[in-house]
Amino acid sequence: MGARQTTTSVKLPATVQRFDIHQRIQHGSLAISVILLVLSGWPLSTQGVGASKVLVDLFGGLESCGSIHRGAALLLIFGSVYHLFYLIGLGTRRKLRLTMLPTPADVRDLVQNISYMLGMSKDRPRFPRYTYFEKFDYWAVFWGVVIMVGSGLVRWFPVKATAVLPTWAYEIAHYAHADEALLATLAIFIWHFYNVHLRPAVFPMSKVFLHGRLTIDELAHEHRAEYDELVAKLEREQRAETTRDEEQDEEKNDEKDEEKSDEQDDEQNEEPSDKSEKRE
Amino acid sequence: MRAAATCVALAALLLPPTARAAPAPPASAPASQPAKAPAKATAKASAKGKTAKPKGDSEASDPRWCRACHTQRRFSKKRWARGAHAEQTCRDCHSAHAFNPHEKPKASEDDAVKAIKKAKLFTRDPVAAASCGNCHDDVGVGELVHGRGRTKRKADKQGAGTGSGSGTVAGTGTGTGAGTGSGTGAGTGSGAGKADKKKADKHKRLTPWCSDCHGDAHSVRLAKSMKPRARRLMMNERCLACHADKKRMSRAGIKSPVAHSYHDSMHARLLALGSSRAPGCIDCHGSHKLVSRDPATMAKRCPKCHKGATKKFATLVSHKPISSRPASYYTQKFFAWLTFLTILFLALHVLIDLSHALRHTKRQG
Repeated sequence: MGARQTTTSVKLPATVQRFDIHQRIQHGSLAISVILLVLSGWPLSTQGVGASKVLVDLFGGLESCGSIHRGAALLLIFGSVYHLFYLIGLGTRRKLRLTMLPTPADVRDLVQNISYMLGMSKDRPRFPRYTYFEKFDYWAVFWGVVIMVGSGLVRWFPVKATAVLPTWAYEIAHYAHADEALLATLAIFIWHFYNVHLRPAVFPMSKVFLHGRLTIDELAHEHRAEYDELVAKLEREQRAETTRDEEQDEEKNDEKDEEKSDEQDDEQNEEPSDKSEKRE
Repeated sequence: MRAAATCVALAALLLPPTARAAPAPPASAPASQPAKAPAKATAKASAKGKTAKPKGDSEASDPRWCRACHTQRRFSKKRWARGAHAEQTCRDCHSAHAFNPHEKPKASEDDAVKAIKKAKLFTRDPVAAASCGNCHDDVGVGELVHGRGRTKRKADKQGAGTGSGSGTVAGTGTGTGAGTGSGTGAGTGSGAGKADKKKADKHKRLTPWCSDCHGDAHSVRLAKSMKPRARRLMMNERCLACHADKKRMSRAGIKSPVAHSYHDSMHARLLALGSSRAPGCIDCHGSHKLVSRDPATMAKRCPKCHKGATKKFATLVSHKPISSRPASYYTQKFFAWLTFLTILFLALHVLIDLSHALRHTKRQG
């Protein structure tokens, strides 16, 4: 894993902080609520299957199954609102990094990664802080939550919803809820569970969602661009310390050089990770 | 409840047939005499009934005797005894039959019986089939969709005076009762022309008879005696026996595939999963006062479960096929393609990743 690690004069931390406590709480509430929602909502969309009845009984009957579904929905809404406020909070403190936004580089990464995995290209893409498949996960959830919460609320309060909305809106909500649920469930079990559980590199599971930390080896392997950025930043800091006596003009020239090399990675963030901590 | 019904039935057996014609007195008379515990009183009366042996003609209709020869499997004494007709005995409906087995059944001159014979419905005993209306003369099926039948409705439109024409058929005026109205032969006879009569013959088996919805008269149960969900499932099955039958529906000129859209609805799903509140067919459409497709009447039923439901809300429930509801249709199409393409991409990506990872680890190991 660490074979590709470049030799550098700076002392690298053993681990880096990837997700802070807020993000882990948000992920936790999302995970718990989605699992409950899938299990308690599944029987209604496949009422003809024998397992549906078993699931309903497992939740203690249809009434409590419905209550659990609505309770879990509230947890999901809580997690989503928490996340939005978290983003707003970061924005007001000017700490919001737009690393999650899709960029053209992601398409290039996708093509390169697939050709690499098929053996047609020797180099693995130098992934930024969030790889294209992680971005896909995030935006799939974003889209999914908007649709599921919206259509779910319409179906939760049909009388009130129809008083405000046209009937075709209810029809859309009715079908979108079940269909998007299927899509989201399949995406989670095929895509997300493979990437964070079944992938040989992380099997049986990646523990980042628990402690929020990546080892420096993992960072170098999975998010090369971010790793390079970190190394560059540390080197810069070290040099700044040793050459404190030197003139500031020279320092600026140095920084420009560094930035030029960074541009090759197509990392859009100008600020290096604030959250990375020194740990030796 | 069942015990009481059985008691009443047994008490009825003790009385001569003339008295049985009015079943109320035997049930109430013994109950009113002893103290103020009617349940116990009827229990006592039944105990007496059990010990005392039936005598003479009073036992004439006791299924035990008839069944000495008539051993049809569909008749279960147990189910009869706990059913809604526990008070009735064989000859209440099979009235053409004499108690003496050597006597031939009387030929009936009744219109309804003739209609049934002509339609070849219930060939075993048309008199019994026509006898529902003898007691149930207040149901009013004849005025409604199932009673009139498709043909009769067309005839009505041509100017045969809808209400009055079918009303007389449904009423006891002809002595046939409610069930008669559904016999299209009898119904069309009252006011339609020859062409309609031919049509009526063609469609004579389309409209349901009492037992098509209520089940076998021998074991028919009171609605109250069943749990709501079991009753709904049972009635749904009976409605769909015809309404899910494409041939029958196309002959009746009904295009709407109600079965599919109902099973696809939240109501049916909840009912299938064990809800005791989710409605079946008749909860929205009504039973004897069948409203069929009248949205205004249907809308009145929504607020029973959905507080504050409006007419607009009622239009959400639709038996129209999804292809004729654009919003639903395109939503489903959109998600079908989105899901298919997304999952196809994800699955391929996973497979490529996995195959690479496995090859990679092999080389290392």
